[in-house]
Amino acid sequence: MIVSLEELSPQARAALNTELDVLVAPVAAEDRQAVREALAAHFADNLDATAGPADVAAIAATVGDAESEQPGRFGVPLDLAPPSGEKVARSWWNPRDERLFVPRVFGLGWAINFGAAAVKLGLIEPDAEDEPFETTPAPAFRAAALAPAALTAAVIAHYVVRGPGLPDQLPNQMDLAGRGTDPIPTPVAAALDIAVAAIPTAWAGSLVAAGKGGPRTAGALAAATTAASVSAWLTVWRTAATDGKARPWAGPLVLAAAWLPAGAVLFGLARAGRTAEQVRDLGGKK
Amino acid sequence: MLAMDKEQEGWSSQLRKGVVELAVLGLLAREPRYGSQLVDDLAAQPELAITAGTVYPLVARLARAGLISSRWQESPVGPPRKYYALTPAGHDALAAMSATFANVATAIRTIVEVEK
Repeated sequence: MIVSLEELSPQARAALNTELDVLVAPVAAEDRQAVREALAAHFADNLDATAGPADVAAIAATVGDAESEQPGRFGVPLDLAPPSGEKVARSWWNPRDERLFVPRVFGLGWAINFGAAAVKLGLIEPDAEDEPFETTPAPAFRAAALAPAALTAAVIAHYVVRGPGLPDQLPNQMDLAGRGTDPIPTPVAAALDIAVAAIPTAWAGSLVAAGKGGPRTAGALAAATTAASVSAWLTVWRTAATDGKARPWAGPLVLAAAWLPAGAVLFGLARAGRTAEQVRDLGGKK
Repeated sequence: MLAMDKEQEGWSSQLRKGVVELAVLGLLAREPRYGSQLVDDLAAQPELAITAGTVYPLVARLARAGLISSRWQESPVGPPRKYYALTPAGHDALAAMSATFANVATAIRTIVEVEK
Protein backbone atom coordinates (compact mmCIF):
# COMPACT_ATOMS: atom_id res chain seq x y z
CA MET A 1 0.00 0.00 0.00
CA ILE A 2 1.20 3.50 -0.78
CA VAL A 3 -0.12 6.80 0.53
CA SER A 4 0.51 8.82 -2.61
CA LEU A 5 0.93 7.86 -6.26
CA GLU A 6 4.05 10.05 -6.19
CA GLU A 7 5.76 7.15 -4.42
CA LEU A 8 5.61 5.11 -7.66
CA SER A 9 8.42 5.10 -10.20
CA PRO A 10 7.87 7.38 -13.24
CA GLN A 11 7.32 4.28 -15.41
CA ALA A 12 4.71 2.82 -13.07
CA ARG A 13 3.02 6.21 -12.72
CA ALA A 14 2.86 6.60 -16.51
CA ALA A 15 1.39 3.10 -16.83
CA LEU A 16 -1.13 3.89 -14.12
CA ASN A 17 -2.24 7.11 -15.82
CA THR A 18 -2.75 5.20 -19.06
CA GLU A 19 -4.78 2.50 -17.30
CA LEU A 20 -6.89 5.12 -15.53
CA ASP A 21 -7.58 6.86 -18.85
CA VAL A 22 -8.81 3.58 -20.34
CA LEU A 23 -10.86 2.62 -17.30
CA VAL A 24 -12.70 5.94 -17.02
CA ALA A 25 -13.27 6.37 -20.76
CA PRO A 26 -16.79 4.82 -20.67
CA VAL A 27 -17.79 7.02 -17.72
CA ALA A 28 -19.82 10.21 -18.32
CA ALA A 29 -17.71 13.37 -18.35
CA GLU A 30 -19.31 14.79 -15.22
CA ASP A 31 -18.55 11.64 -13.20
CA ARG A 32 -15.15 10.87 -14.68
CA GLN A 33 -12.98 12.75 -12.19
CA ALA A 34 -14.71 11.20 -9.17
CA VAL A 35 -14.43 7.70 -10.62
CA ARG A 36 -10.79 8.33 -11.50
CA GLU A 37 -10.01 9.37 -7.94
CA ALA A 38 -11.78 6.32 -6.52
CA LEU A 39 -9.85 4.04 -8.88
CA ALA A 40 -6.56 5.76 -8.05
CA ALA A 41 -7.25 5.09 -4.36
CA HIS A 42 -7.91 1.43 -5.17
CA PHE A 43 -4.58 1.20 -7.01
CA ALA A 44 -2.79 2.92 -4.11
CA ASP A 45 -4.24 0.34 -1.70
CA ASN A 46 -2.90 -2.51 -3.81
CA LEU A 47 0.49 -1.23 -4.97
CA ASP A 48 3.72 -0.62 -3.14
CA ALA A 49 6.56 1.75 -3.99
CA THR A 50 8.50 -0.97 -5.83
CA ALA A 51 5.60 -1.76 -8.20
CA GLY A 52 6.30 -1.67 -11.92
CA PRO A 53 4.06 -1.28 -14.99
CA ALA A 54 3.30 -5.03 -14.97
CA ASP A 55 1.91 -4.78 -11.43
CA VAL A 56 -0.24 -1.85 -12.50
CA ALA A 57 -1.55 -3.84 -15.47
CA ALA A 58 -2.30 -6.86 -13.27
CA ILE A 59 -4.45 -4.78 -10.91
CA ALA A 60 -6.13 -2.98 -13.81
CA ALA A 61 -7.12 -6.37 -15.23
CA THR A 62 -9.00 -7.21 -12.03
CA VAL A 63 -10.83 -3.91 -11.83
CA GLY A 64 -13.24 -4.88 -14.58
CA ASP A 65 -15.37 -2.93 -16.95
CA ALA A 66 -17.61 -0.08 -15.99
CA GLU A 67 -20.77 -1.31 -14.29
CA SER A 68 -23.91 -1.47 -16.33
CA GLU A 69 -25.38 1.50 -14.49
CA GLN A 70 -24.39 3.86 -17.28
CA PRO A 71 -24.63 7.63 -17.06
CA GLY A 72 -27.24 9.15 -19.28
CA ARG A 73 -30.41 11.13 -19.58
CA PHE A 74 -33.87 9.74 -18.71
CA GLY A 75 -32.51 6.20 -18.81
CA VAL A 76 -30.82 6.66 -22.18
CA PRO A 77 -27.03 6.18 -22.01
CA LEU A 78 -24.80 9.12 -22.86
CA ASP A 79 -21.12 9.04 -23.78
CA LEU A 80 -19.27 12.23 -24.60
CA ALA A 81 -15.74 10.79 -24.53
CA PRO A 82 -14.11 11.19 -27.97
CA PRO A 83 -14.73 8.16 -30.22
CA SER A 84 -11.79 6.05 -31.36
CA GLY A 85 -11.30 2.92 -33.42
CA GLU A 86 -10.72 0.88 -30.29
CA LYS A 87 -13.87 2.23 -28.66
CA VAL A 88 -15.92 1.38 -31.76
CA ALA A 89 -14.58 -2.17 -31.81
CA ARG A 90 -15.18 -2.78 -28.11
CA SER A 91 -18.72 -1.42 -28.32
CA TRP A 92 -19.85 -3.01 -31.60
CA TRP A 93 -18.10 -6.33 -31.06
CA ASN A 94 -18.21 -7.71 -27.53
CA PRO A 95 -19.31 -11.36 -27.75
CA ARG A 96 -18.73 -11.89 -24.02
CA ASP A 97 -21.43 -9.32 -23.25
CA GLU A 98 -24.93 -10.79 -23.65
CA ARG A 99 -26.56 -7.40 -24.30
CA LEU A 100 -27.66 -6.87 -27.91
CA PHE A 101 -27.90 -3.12 -27.41
CA VAL A 102 -25.06 -1.29 -25.72
CA PRO A 103 -24.37 2.42 -25.11
CA ARG A 104 -23.40 4.30 -28.25
CA VAL A 105 -19.75 5.01 -28.93
CA PHE A 106 -20.49 8.73 -28.86
CA GLY A 107 -23.60 10.65 -27.92
CA LEU A 108 -26.98 9.62 -26.59
CA GLY A 109 -28.56 6.22 -27.28
CA TRP A 110 -27.62 2.66 -28.07
CA ALA A 111 -25.65 0.74 -30.66
CA ILE A 112 -25.84 -2.91 -31.74
CA ASN A 113 -23.42 -5.35 -30.15
CA PHE A 114 -22.78 -7.56 -33.20
CA GLY A 115 -20.70 -9.92 -31.07
CA ALA A 116 -23.73 -10.76 -28.91
CA ALA A 117 -25.87 -11.14 -32.05
CA ALA A 118 -23.34 -13.55 -33.59
CA VAL A 119 -23.25 -15.62 -30.37
CA LYS A 120 -27.06 -15.76 -30.21
CA LEU A 121 -27.14 -16.90 -33.84
CA GLY A 122 -24.61 -19.63 -33.04
CA LEU A 123 -22.04 -18.18 -35.46
CA ILE A 124 -19.22 -17.79 -32.92
CA GLU A 125 -18.37 -18.64 -29.31
CA PRO A 126 -18.36 -15.87 -26.68
CA ASP A 127 -14.69 -16.61 -26.00
CA ALA A 128 -13.64 -17.40 -29.58
CA GLU A 129 -10.78 -14.91 -29.21
CA ASP A 130 -8.86 -14.23 -25.99
CA GLU A 131 -8.95 -10.53 -26.86
CA PRO A 132 -11.06 -9.52 -29.87
CA PHE A 133 -9.00 -8.82 -33.03
CA GLU A 134 -5.61 -9.14 -31.26
CA THR A 135 -4.68 -12.29 -33.21
CA THR A 136 -6.48 -11.39 -36.45
CA PRO A 137 -3.82 -11.64 -39.17
CA ALA A 138 -2.85 -8.76 -41.47
CA PRO A 139 -4.33 -10.34 -44.64
CA ALA A 140 -7.77 -10.34 -42.98
CA PHE A 141 -7.46 -6.61 -42.24
CA ARG A 142 -6.39 -5.97 -45.83
CA ALA A 143 -9.37 -7.95 -47.13
CA ALA A 144 -11.73 -6.07 -44.81
CA ALA A 145 -10.37 -2.75 -46.07
CA LEU A 146 -11.68 -3.64 -49.54
CA ALA A 147 -15.29 -3.19 -48.38
CA PRO A 148 -15.16 0.57 -47.57
CA ALA A 149 -12.71 1.13 -50.44
CA ALA A 150 -15.09 -0.47 -52.97
CA LEU A 151 -18.09 1.46 -51.64
CA THR A 152 -16.15 4.74 -51.75
CA ALA A 153 -15.03 3.98 -55.30
CA ALA A 154 -18.66 3.31 -56.25
CA VAL A 155 -19.77 6.68 -54.84
CA ILE A 156 -17.02 8.53 -56.71
CA ALA A 157 -17.71 6.59 -59.91
CA HIS A 158 -21.42 7.38 -59.64
CA TYR A 159 -20.84 11.12 -59.59
CA VAL A 160 -18.11 11.01 -62.22
CA VAL A 161 -20.13 8.91 -64.66
CA ARG A 162 -23.66 10.13 -63.97
CA GLY A 163 -22.82 13.61 -62.70
CA PRO A 164 -23.22 15.45 -66.01
CA GLY A 165 -26.68 13.96 -66.51
CA LEU A 166 -27.97 14.71 -63.00
CA PRO A 167 -30.35 17.61 -62.21
CA ASP A 168 -28.86 20.84 -60.87
CA GLN A 169 -30.12 20.07 -57.39
CA LEU A 170 -30.47 16.88 -55.33
CA PRO A 171 -32.49 16.32 -52.13
CA ASN A 172 -30.58 16.55 -48.88
CA GLN A 173 -33.29 15.39 -46.44
CA MET A 174 -35.73 12.51 -46.36
CA ASP A 175 -39.28 12.75 -44.99
CA LEU A 176 -41.04 9.88 -43.23
CA ALA A 177 -42.37 8.58 -46.55
CA GLY A 178 -38.89 8.49 -48.01
CA ARG A 179 -39.47 11.48 -50.30
CA GLY A 180 -36.62 13.89 -50.93
CA THR A 181 -36.77 17.40 -49.42
CA ASP A 182 -34.44 20.35 -48.82
CA PRO A 183 -32.63 20.35 -52.21
CA ILE A 184 -28.98 21.40 -52.42
CA PRO A 185 -26.73 21.96 -55.48
CA THR A 186 -25.59 18.68 -57.00
CA PRO A 187 -21.85 19.47 -56.65
CA VAL A 188 -22.39 20.08 -52.92
CA ALA A 189 -24.29 16.78 -52.57
CA ALA A 190 -21.51 15.00 -54.45
CA ALA A 191 -18.79 16.56 -52.29
CA LEU A 192 -20.73 15.63 -49.15
CA ASP A 193 -21.25 12.00 -50.16
CA ILE A 194 -17.67 11.55 -51.32
CA ALA A 195 -16.25 13.15 -48.15
CA VAL A 196 -18.43 11.02 -45.84
CA ALA A 197 -17.20 7.87 -47.58
CA ALA A 198 -13.62 8.80 -48.36
CA ILE A 199 -12.37 10.40 -45.14
CA PRO A 200 -13.07 7.46 -42.76
CA THR A 201 -11.96 5.04 -45.47
CA ALA A 202 -8.65 6.88 -45.87
CA TRP A 203 -8.16 6.83 -42.08
CA ALA A 204 -8.85 3.08 -41.82
CA GLY A 205 -6.83 2.39 -44.96
CA SER A 206 -3.82 4.25 -43.57
CA LEU A 207 -3.88 2.05 -40.44
CA VAL A 208 -4.07 -1.11 -42.55
CA ALA A 209 -1.35 0.12 -44.92
CA ALA A 210 0.90 0.83 -41.94
CA GLY A 211 0.51 -2.82 -40.92
CA LYS A 212 -1.46 -1.96 -37.78
CA GLY A 213 -4.02 -4.46 -36.55
CA GLY A 214 -5.89 -5.09 -33.32
CA PRO A 215 -9.14 -3.57 -32.09
CA ARG A 216 -8.20 -0.05 -33.15
CA THR A 217 -7.94 -0.98 -36.81
CA ALA A 218 -10.96 -3.29 -36.61
CA GLY A 219 -13.05 -0.44 -35.21
CA ALA A 220 -11.72 1.99 -37.80
CA LEU A 221 -12.64 -0.42 -40.59
CA ALA A 222 -16.13 -0.98 -39.16
CA ALA A 223 -16.72 2.77 -38.84
CA ALA A 224 -15.39 3.38 -42.36
CA THR A 225 -17.60 0.63 -43.74
CA THR A 226 -20.63 2.17 -42.06
CA ALA A 227 -19.83 5.63 -43.41
CA ALA A 228 -19.12 4.40 -46.94
CA SER A 229 -22.18 2.16 -46.98
CA VAL A 230 -24.52 4.94 -45.81
CA SER A 231 -22.94 7.31 -48.31
CA ALA A 232 -23.37 4.82 -51.16
CA TRP A 233 -26.99 4.26 -50.28
CA LEU A 234 -27.71 7.98 -49.95
CA THR A 235 -26.05 8.57 -53.31
CA VAL A 236 -28.44 6.11 -54.95
CA TRP A 237 -31.42 7.51 -53.05
CA ARG A 238 -30.64 11.18 -53.84
CA THR A 239 -30.60 10.42 -57.55
CA ALA A 240 -33.77 8.32 -57.46
CA ALA A 241 -35.64 10.76 -55.19
CA THR A 242 -35.58 13.55 -57.75
CA ASP A 243 -38.81 12.05 -59.15
CA GLY A 244 -40.66 13.07 -55.95
CA LYS A 245 -42.15 9.59 -55.37
CA ALA A 246 -42.61 8.15 -51.87
CA ARG A 247 -40.20 5.38 -50.89
CA PRO A 248 -41.16 4.23 -47.39
CA TRP A 249 -38.43 1.58 -47.38
CA ALA A 250 -35.71 4.21 -47.88
CA GLY A 251 -35.34 5.10 -44.18
CA PRO A 252 -35.09 1.51 -42.91
CA LEU A 253 -32.58 0.79 -45.68
CA VAL A 254 -30.36 3.64 -44.47
CA LEU A 255 -30.31 2.00 -41.02
CA ALA A 256 -29.55 -1.39 -42.57
CA ALA A 257 -26.78 0.20 -44.64
CA ALA A 258 -25.38 1.76 -41.46
CA TRP A 259 -25.19 -1.43 -39.46
CA LEU A 260 -25.17 -4.66 -41.45
CA PRO A 261 -21.96 -4.22 -43.51
CA ALA A 262 -20.05 -3.10 -40.41
CA GLY A 263 -21.32 -6.16 -38.53
CA ALA A 264 -20.20 -8.39 -41.38
CA VAL A 265 -16.72 -6.82 -41.37
CA LEU A 266 -16.32 -7.29 -37.60
CA PHE A 267 -17.61 -10.85 -37.81
CA GLY A 268 -15.14 -11.68 -40.57
CA LEU A 269 -12.23 -10.19 -38.63
CA ALA A 270 -13.23 -12.06 -35.46
CA ARG A 271 -13.53 -15.37 -37.32
CA ALA A 272 -10.07 -14.78 -38.78
CA GLY A 273 -8.74 -14.14 -35.26
CA ARG A 274 -10.40 -17.32 -34.00
CA THR A 275 -8.86 -19.32 -36.84
CA ALA A 276 -5.42 -17.84 -36.08
CA GLU A 277 -5.73 -18.87 -32.43
CA GLN A 278 -6.71 -22.39 -33.45
CA VAL A 279 -3.80 -22.67 -35.86
CA ARG A 280 -1.49 -21.50 -33.05
CA ASP A 281 -2.82 -24.00 -30.53
CA LEU A 282 -3.69 -26.94 -32.77
CA GLY A 283 -0.80 -26.65 -35.18
CA GLY A 284 -2.90 -26.16 -38.28
CA LYS A 285 -5.54 -28.77 -37.48
CA LYS A 286 -8.97 -27.23 -37.00
CA MET B 1 -41.08 -4.87 3.66
CA LEU B 2 -40.39 -4.21 0.00
CA ALA B 3 -37.40 -2.02 0.88
CA MET B 4 -36.13 -4.78 3.15
CA ASP B 5 -36.41 -7.36 0.34
CA LYS B 6 -34.59 -5.00 -2.02
CA GLU B 7 -31.85 -4.44 0.52
CA GLN B 8 -31.55 -8.19 1.08
CA GLU B 9 -31.38 -8.85 -2.67
CA GLY B 10 -28.73 -6.16 -3.13
CA TRP B 11 -26.65 -7.61 -0.32
CA SER B 12 -26.93 -11.14 -1.70
CA SER B 13 -25.92 -9.89 -5.12
CA GLN B 14 -22.84 -8.16 -3.73
CA LEU B 15 -21.87 -11.28 -1.80
CA ARG B 16 -22.18 -13.45 -4.89
CA LYS B 17 -20.12 -11.00 -6.92
CA GLY B 18 -17.42 -11.21 -4.28
CA VAL B 19 -17.10 -14.99 -4.42
CA VAL B 20 -17.59 -15.67 -8.12
CA GLU B 21 -13.85 -15.41 -8.86
CA LEU B 22 -13.13 -17.91 -6.12
CA ALA B 23 -15.76 -20.27 -7.55
CA VAL B 24 -14.25 -20.10 -11.05
CA LEU B 25 -10.69 -20.60 -9.81
CA GLY B 26 -11.87 -23.47 -7.59
CA LEU B 27 -13.51 -25.28 -10.49
CA LEU B 28 -10.50 -24.83 -12.75
CA ALA B 29 -8.21 -26.14 -10.00
CA ARG B 30 -9.98 -29.50 -10.24
CA GLU B 31 -9.50 -29.82 -13.99
CA PRO B 32 -9.32 -27.63 -17.11
CA ARG B 33 -12.75 -26.75 -18.46
CA TYR B 34 -14.10 -25.12 -21.60
CA GLY B 35 -16.32 -22.04 -21.45
CA SER B 36 -19.80 -23.53 -21.65
CA GLN B 37 -18.75 -26.36 -19.34
CA LEU B 38 -17.68 -23.76 -16.78
CA VAL B 39 -21.02 -21.99 -17.20
CA ASP B 40 -22.95 -25.25 -16.75
CA ASP B 41 -20.93 -26.31 -13.70
CA LEU B 42 -21.48 -22.94 -12.05
CA ALA B 43 -25.17 -22.95 -12.99
CA ALA B 44 -25.44 -26.25 -11.12
CA GLN B 45 -25.03 -24.17 -7.95
CA PRO B 46 -28.21 -22.08 -8.09
CA GLU B 47 -27.25 -20.19 -4.91
CA LEU B 48 -24.47 -18.53 -6.88
CA ALA B 49 -26.90 -17.35 -9.62
CA ILE B 50 -24.02 -17.09 -12.12
CA THR B 51 -24.84 -16.81 -15.83
CA ALA B 52 -22.81 -16.88 -19.03
CA GLY B 53 -22.95 -13.09 -19.05
CA THR B 54 -20.99 -13.08 -15.81
CA VAL B 55 -18.65 -15.97 -16.49
CA TYR B 56 -17.18 -15.00 -19.86
CA PRO B 57 -16.13 -11.43 -18.93
CA LEU B 58 -14.74 -12.75 -15.65
CA VAL B 59 -12.71 -15.45 -17.40
CA ALA B 60 -11.26 -12.77 -19.69
CA ARG B 61 -10.26 -10.64 -16.69
CA LEU B 62 -8.65 -13.60 -14.92
CA ALA B 63 -6.71 -14.43 -18.09
CA ARG B 64 -5.51 -10.81 -18.41
CA ALA B 65 -4.37 -10.96 -14.80
CA GLY B 66 -2.37 -14.11 -15.60
CA LEU B 67 -4.35 -16.31 -13.19
CA ILE B 68 -5.68 -18.63 -15.89
CA SER B 69 -4.52 -19.65 -19.35
CA SER B 70 -6.53 -20.69 -22.38
CA ARG B 71 -5.82 -23.11 -25.18
CA TRP B 72 -7.83 -24.57 -28.05
CA GLN B 73 -8.06 -28.36 -27.96
CA GLU B 74 -9.60 -30.90 -30.29
CA SER B 75 -12.89 -32.31 -29.10
CA PRO B 76 -13.88 -35.94 -29.68
CA VAL B 77 -17.45 -34.74 -30.30
CA GLY B 78 -17.65 -31.70 -32.53
CA PRO B 79 -15.47 -28.68 -33.22
CA PRO B 80 -12.40 -27.68 -31.15
CA ARG B 81 -13.02 -26.07 -27.77
CA LYS B 82 -11.13 -23.46 -25.82
CA TYR B 83 -10.07 -24.91 -22.47
CA TYR B 84 -9.11 -22.84 -19.43
CA ALA B 85 -6.61 -23.95 -16.78
CA LEU B 86 -5.06 -22.39 -13.68
CA THR B 87 -1.57 -20.94 -14.01
CA PRO B 88 0.89 -21.16 -11.08
CA ALA B 89 -0.14 -17.60 -10.17
CA GLY B 90 -3.75 -18.76 -10.29
CA HIS B 91 -3.00 -21.59 -7.85
CA ASP B 92 -1.38 -19.08 -5.49
CA ALA B 93 -4.34 -16.72 -5.82
CA LEU B 94 -6.79 -19.54 -5.17
CA ALA B 95 -4.92 -20.57 -2.01
CA ALA B 96 -4.86 -16.98 -0.74
CA MET B 97 -8.52 -16.35 -1.61
CA SER B 98 -9.64 -19.64 -0.04
CA ALA B 99 -7.82 -18.78 3.18
CA THR B 100 -9.34 -15.29 3.24
CA PHE B 101 -12.80 -16.68 2.54
CA ALA B 102 -12.46 -19.23 5.34
CA ASN B 103 -11.24 -16.56 7.79
CA VAL B 104 -14.04 -14.16 6.88
CA ALA B 105 -16.66 -16.92 7.12
CA THR B 106 -15.33 -17.95 10.54
CA ALA B 107 -15.34 -14.37 11.80
CA ILE B 108 -18.87 -13.70 10.55
CA ARG B 109 -20.13 -16.97 11.95
CA THR B 110 -18.65 -16.10 15.32
CA ILE B 111 -20.30 -12.68 15.31
CA VAL B 112 -23.67 -13.96 14.15
CA GLU B 113 -23.66 -16.79 16.69
CA VAL B 114 -22.75 -14.35 19.48
CA GLU B 115 -25.61 -12.11 18.35
CA LYS B 116 -27.99 -15.07 18.61
